[in-house]
Amino acid sequence: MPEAVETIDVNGRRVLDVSGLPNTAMDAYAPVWWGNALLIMIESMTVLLVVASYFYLRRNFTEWPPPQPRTIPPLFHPVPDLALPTIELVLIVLSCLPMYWTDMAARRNDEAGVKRGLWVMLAIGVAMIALRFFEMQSSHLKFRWDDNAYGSIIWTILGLHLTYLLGAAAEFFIMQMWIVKHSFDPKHGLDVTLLGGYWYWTAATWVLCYGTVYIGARF
Amino acid sequence: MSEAILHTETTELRAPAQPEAVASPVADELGPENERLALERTWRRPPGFLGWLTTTDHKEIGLRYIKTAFGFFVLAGILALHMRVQLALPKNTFLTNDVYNQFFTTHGTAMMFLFAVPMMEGMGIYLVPLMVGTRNVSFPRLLNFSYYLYLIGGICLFTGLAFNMGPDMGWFAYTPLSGPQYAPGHRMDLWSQMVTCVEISGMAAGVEIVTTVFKQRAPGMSLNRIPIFVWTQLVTSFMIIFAMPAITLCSTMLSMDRLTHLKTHFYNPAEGGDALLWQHLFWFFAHPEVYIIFIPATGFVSDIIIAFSRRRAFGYTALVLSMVATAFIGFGVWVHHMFATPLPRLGQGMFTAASLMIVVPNGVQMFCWLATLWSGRRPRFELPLVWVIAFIVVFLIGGLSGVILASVSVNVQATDTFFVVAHLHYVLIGGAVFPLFGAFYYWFPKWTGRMLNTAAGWWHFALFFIGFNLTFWPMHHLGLRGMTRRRYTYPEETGWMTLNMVATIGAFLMAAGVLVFIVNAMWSRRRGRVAGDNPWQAGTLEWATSSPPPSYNFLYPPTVRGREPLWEPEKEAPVIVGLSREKRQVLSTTVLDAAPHHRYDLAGESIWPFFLAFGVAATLMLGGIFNPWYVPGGIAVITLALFGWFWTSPALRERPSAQPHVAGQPRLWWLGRRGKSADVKSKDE
Repeated sequence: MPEAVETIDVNGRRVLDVSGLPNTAMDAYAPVWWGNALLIMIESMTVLLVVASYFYLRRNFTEWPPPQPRTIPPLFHPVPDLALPTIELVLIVLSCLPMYWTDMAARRNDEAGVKRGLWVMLAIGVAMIALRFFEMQSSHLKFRWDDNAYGSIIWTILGLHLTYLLGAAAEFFIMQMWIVKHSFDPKHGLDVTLLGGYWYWTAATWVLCYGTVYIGARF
Repeated sequence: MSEAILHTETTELRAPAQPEAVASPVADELGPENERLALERTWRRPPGFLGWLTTTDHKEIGLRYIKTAFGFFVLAGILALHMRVQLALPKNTFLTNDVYNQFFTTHGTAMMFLFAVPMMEGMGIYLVPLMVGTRNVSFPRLLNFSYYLYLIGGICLFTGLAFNMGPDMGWFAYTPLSGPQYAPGHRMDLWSQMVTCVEISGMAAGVEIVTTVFKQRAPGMSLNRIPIFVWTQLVTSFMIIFAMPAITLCSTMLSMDRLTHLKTHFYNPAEGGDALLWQHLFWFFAHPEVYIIFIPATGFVSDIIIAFSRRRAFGYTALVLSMVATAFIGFGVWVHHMFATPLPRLGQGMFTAASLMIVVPNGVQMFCWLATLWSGRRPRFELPLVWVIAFIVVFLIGGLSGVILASVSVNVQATDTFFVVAHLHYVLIGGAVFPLFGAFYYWFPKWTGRMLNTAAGWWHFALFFIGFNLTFWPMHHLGLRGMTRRRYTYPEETGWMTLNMVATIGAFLMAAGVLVFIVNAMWSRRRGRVAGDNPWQAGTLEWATSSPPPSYNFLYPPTVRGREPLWEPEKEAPVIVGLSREKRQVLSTTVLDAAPHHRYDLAGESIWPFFLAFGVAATLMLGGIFNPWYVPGGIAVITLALFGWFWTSPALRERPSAQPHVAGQPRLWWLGRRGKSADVKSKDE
C-alpha cells in the first residue's frame, strides 16, 4: 500500500507528499461510491413513503382490494394476477448472480468477463421492462389508475419501480457502449461495481413492491 | 463513529521517521510561483458566455446561489410589503382578495423554497470545501445542474405570478383545496412542479455536501475536528436526503390527481383517497425543512461566537450531539402542524411530547454558546456578533411561543391565527435571517476581499431589529384577539387597526434596513476597506487562503492538527504536495480519521448538466402541467443529457495510452472537459 510521505522540501518546508498515492479507489473509499449510496438512500426513502401511502390509503377501504363494479361480470375480490410479477421476481432475484459475476470480473480487471456480464444484464433489464409492460395492463391489475385510490397507488408503485428498471437498463447499455468503443480501466471498474449495487437494490425493492402489491392484497 | 468523536487526539498523520532533507520531486521541479501559474491554468474557467454557463467552481456557484436566493428574498419581501399595506387599514382595497391570496402564497413559497433552503445550501457550497481544505466539491457538474434547476424553478414561480398564475392556496397547499375540484386552472400545477424542481436540486446539493465532507477533508481533520458549521451542513444534508423525497412524492401525486389525462385519486375522498395523506407527507418534509433552515444558522452562530470570543467552542461534543438530536427529533414532530385534524388522542400526546423535547437540545446549544462567550476573551462587539446576540434574544422568544404552541389545547385555540404567524416569523427570521446577516458581515470579506461598511451596518441592524419586533410582536396580540391568518381584510369594529398599523410601519423599517444592506454591499464590494486574508483572526481554514480565494482555493492544500487550525500553537503543519497540476485533482481521505487515501480527479466544465436541468424542468413543467405525453419526450432529452455527461466524465477516461495530446483548446470543449485545461500537455498520462 503506497502512502503519503511527510518530508521536508527544498525550501525547508514540511510537506506531505501524496504523489505516491494511487489515483483510484474502490467501494466506500471512493467519493463516487458515496454519491451513489446517498442517491440510493433518497430513492429508498421514496419507495418507503409510497409503500406507507399504500397502507395509509388501505385504511379507507373496508375491503382491499375494493370490488370492481366496472367489469362484466363485476369482481368482488379483484386481486391482481400473480403470474407475470412472480416470473419477474424470480428473474430479478436470480439476475443478482450474473450481476455479482460482472461485479467480480470488474474487480479482477477482466474486460471480457465484464463485457459478457453486461450483455447478459442488458438482456435481463430489457426482459424485465418487457414483462413489466405486459404486467401493467388493466386486465391483469383489474383496475385502471383512475378507478379509485387503490388503482392509483398500485399503478404508482409499479411505475416507480419501472423507472428504476429503465435507469438500470440505460446504464448497462451506456457502460457496454463505452467498453466496446474504448476499453476497460480501474475507474470504469468502479462504475461497474456501483452499477451492481444499484441492481441489487432494484431487486430488493422489487421484493418489497411485490410483497406489498401482490401478496399484501391477498391478506 | 462515536469513538472518533470522543477521541480527542487521533494520530492519523504518521510522524516522519526521520525528517529527511530529500526534496520531494514535485517541489524540486517547480517553485511556488510556477505551481501557482500551472494551477491557475488548470482551474481557470473557460472564457465567455459558455464558460459562465458551464462553470463548476463551487465558489462561483455558491455565490450565485446566495445572490439568487437573496433576490428571491427581496421579491418575496416586496410581496409582504404589499400585504402589510393592505392590512394597515380596515376594509382596505389596495389589493383584491384574489391578488392577496396569490401574494401570501407566493411570499411563503418563495421564502421557504427559494430563499431559505437554497440560501443555506449556497453558504454551504461556498464555505464547506474551503473549511475542509479542499479545492472543489466532489461532483462539480452535479453542482452546476442543481443550480440551474433551482433557478428555472424559481423563475417559473414568479413568471406565473406576473401572468396572474400565482398559486393561491397557501404555501402548504392543503388538499382538497388545491385539488382539481377547488383549484381549476394551472396555478397549483405550476406550484407543484416548481416545488419538485427546487427539491430535486436541493437533494443534489445535499449529496454533494455529504460526499465532500466525508471524503475530501484535509488530512488530520478527523470527524471530531471539523468546524461546527461543517457539522451543521453535514447534518442538514442528511436531513435533506431523508425529508425531501416526501415532498417530491406528494407534489407528484398532486399533479397526477390534477392532470385531466391521469385523474388519479390519492387525495380524493370520493374514491377512497385521503386529503390528510397530503398533510402527512407534506409535513413529514416541511417540519424537517424548518430545521434544514435553522441548523445551518446555528453553524453561523457557533463559528461567529468562537471567532469573536477567541476561544474554542465550549462543549463542542455537546453542540454537535444536540444538533444531531435536533435533527432526529425533527423527524418525529410533523403532526404538531395537524393538531386541528381528527387524530387519535394518543398520537397527539406523543407528538406534543416530541415537540417539547426539541427544547432540550436547543437549550443545550444556547448554554454552550453563552458559556463560550462568557469564558472567552472579552468579546469584540462587532457586527457579526451583534447579529448573533440579537438572534439569541429573538429566537428565545420564538422558542417560547413554540413551547406554548406545542400544547394541543393551546394549539387548537391558536391554529390559523396571527399568533402562529408571529411565532413562525420569530423562529424563522429570528432563527435563520438574523444569523444569516451576521454571516454576511462575517464572510463578506472572504467573498470580495473587502469589509462591509460598519456605520451602514449599524443602521441596517437597528432598522431591521426594531422593524422586526414592531412587525411581529403585535401579531401575537392580534392572534390572541382572534385575527385569523390569510385574511385579506377586516372590519373596523374588530379593533385590530392600531396593531396592524404598527406592524405595517415595522415592515417598512425592516425593508429600509434591507435596502441599506443592499446599498452597503454594492458599495463595499468595490470601495470597502481592504480586508486581508483573515480580518477577524478566526481559526478555521477558509481564512488560510487569500480573499477572495483563487480558483484552486489553496496553493498548497493544508493539513490540520486541531479544531481551529489557524490557532494551533504548532505553526508547522505540513502542506500537501504531489497532486497533479495538470488535472483537477484533489486528495481523498478516509471518512472517520481523514487519513490520506488516494488522489481523486474531478470533472471539468460541461454543457450537459445545464442541458439536463433544462430537460428535467421541461419534462416536469410540460408533462406535469399540460399533458403527460410530454414525459416520454422529456425522458429522451434527459437520457441524451445523461449519456453526454457520462461520456465526457473523467471517471471513464480512456486508457492513458489511447489519449492523444491535443494542442490548444479543442473545438467543442463545452461538451465536456475532463477536469483539466486541454491546452496543457498532461504530465500524468
